[in-house]
Amino acid sequence: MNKIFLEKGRIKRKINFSQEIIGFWVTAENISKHIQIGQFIHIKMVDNANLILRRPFSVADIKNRDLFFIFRIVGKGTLLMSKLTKNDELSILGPLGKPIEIPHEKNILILGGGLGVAPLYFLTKSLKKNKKNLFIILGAKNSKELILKEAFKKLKPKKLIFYTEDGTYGKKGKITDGISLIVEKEKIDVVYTAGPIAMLKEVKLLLENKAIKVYGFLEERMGCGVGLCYVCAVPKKEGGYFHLCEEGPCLSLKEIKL
Amino acid sequence: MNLTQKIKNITFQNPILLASGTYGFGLKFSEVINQTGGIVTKTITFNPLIGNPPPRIYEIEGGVINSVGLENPGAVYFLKRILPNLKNLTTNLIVSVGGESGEEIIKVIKILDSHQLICAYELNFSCPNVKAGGILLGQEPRMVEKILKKVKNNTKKPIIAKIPATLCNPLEIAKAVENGGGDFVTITNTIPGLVIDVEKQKPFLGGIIGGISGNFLKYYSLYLIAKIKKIIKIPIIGCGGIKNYRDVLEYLSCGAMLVEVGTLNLQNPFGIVEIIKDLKKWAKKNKLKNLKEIIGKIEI
Repeated sequence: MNKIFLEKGRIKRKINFSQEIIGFWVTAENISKHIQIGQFIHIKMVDNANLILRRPFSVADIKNRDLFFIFRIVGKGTLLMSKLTKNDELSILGPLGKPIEIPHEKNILILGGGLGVAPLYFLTKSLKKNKKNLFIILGAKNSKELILKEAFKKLKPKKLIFYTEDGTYGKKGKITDGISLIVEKEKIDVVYTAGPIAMLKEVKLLLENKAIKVYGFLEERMGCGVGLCYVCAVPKKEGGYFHLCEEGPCLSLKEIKL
Repeated sequence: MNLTQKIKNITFQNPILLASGTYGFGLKFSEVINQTGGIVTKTITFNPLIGNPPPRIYEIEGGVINSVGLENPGAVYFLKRILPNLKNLTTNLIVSVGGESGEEIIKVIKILDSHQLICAYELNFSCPNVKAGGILLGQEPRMVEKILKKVKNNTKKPIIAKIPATLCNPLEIAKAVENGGGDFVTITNTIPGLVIDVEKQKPFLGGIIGGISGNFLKYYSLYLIAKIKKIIKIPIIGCGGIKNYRDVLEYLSCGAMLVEVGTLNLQNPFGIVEIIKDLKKWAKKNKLKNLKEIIGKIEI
């Protein structure tokens, strides 16, 4: 088992992508140093006795001693966290989960919907360093929610296509509209996807019978985050469950039931 | 200052144990486990159980409702694949055993009993008895007494009975544990609960029924312990909502000789170490010679 740290992270910079989507750059030396692609962090606000569970977040980027994560306000915990500002502290447990091994195949398709682009950015940077041919399709409801556009552009992938549901940026439509064509045309070997569950279901359905590897970042209600409580169950295709915090959060979509 | 106690031939280096279900099977964080008085494993059943569909947890103020469904790899796998990897443990390994009936519990114990590392069993009396219409194994005093007598005939290792706190009279159940020859009684397990998803108009948890745990449970547990202490002589293990050393002291003063920490482990796998350190500090500051000086000092 890799070493797990419990660190007090100090917020260095807050980015308001929209009223509901917020990003924090947090200084957390040990976790930033050891975290690998595909892993996550488990966060608790320092002063809140009532909300006792941590919340899992994917890491979108790291820089020296700092890590970057992005969240949407969906409940009590994230609402309270959204009120934090520079220099406030967070209790962070990590790095957690199973790191992604860089595939030996060459042609990689990245499919990100909504906040799913966050873990994919961290992954894509690493794939770029490993000189993979990158084809990227990103989508969101509207231009404002289509985060990290510029950051992805800077990675100069072979192809980068944007979709918004309302047409305020890139093509109008959903990312799943363009998948089948690109998979055939670019001879894609491996797909990584992250986004809303409905999108993952659609991706799974579209690519299930193709002879390519398809991985997705999953979400599930989580307890300890370190493989002790067995709360974060994701149904396996063959029966039984994966424990997302240990075997995920990035799993082969072909091996799970969605 | 010494937090060590020897109870029923088991030496506990301090009174704080890891509660069943919240710290796996002892394979991870051995450096944490070894600082505790012992670990109670996740419940082991005869056959493997895949557990309940997700979602398996719901957060409430100060606690959680869980519905893991006793997911475990079964007794044989535990014996052959897990126990051999627990040699690093230097503290007490207590195996939680569950089943639909007393017979199943005995089958599990027979499989595991020759293993030296196991120092006691904790029977999970909150398992539903399917044959008896789903009532809990520990809901009925006569059944509890009968199961314990049978179990005691099949092992020399000490038996801890973790009893349900609701849908029964816990005082009668605790007495039945003693009458059946149980060596310890753990008070209490989670209490049953239901979460409703109003939008979908159905229960939220995949397993429908969950077990409520957290700080609020402490107050009920303390009450039960203070009452039960007066009617039984066997040692009591307090469990429910412990999140700091002061909670431990509350349990000890009401009559628990040991405590189990559960829900806190879901928040922080290192949290129990802080509780132990703080308890030691408190004991030193208050010039406590041993735990006997505070255990059971409060009478109600």
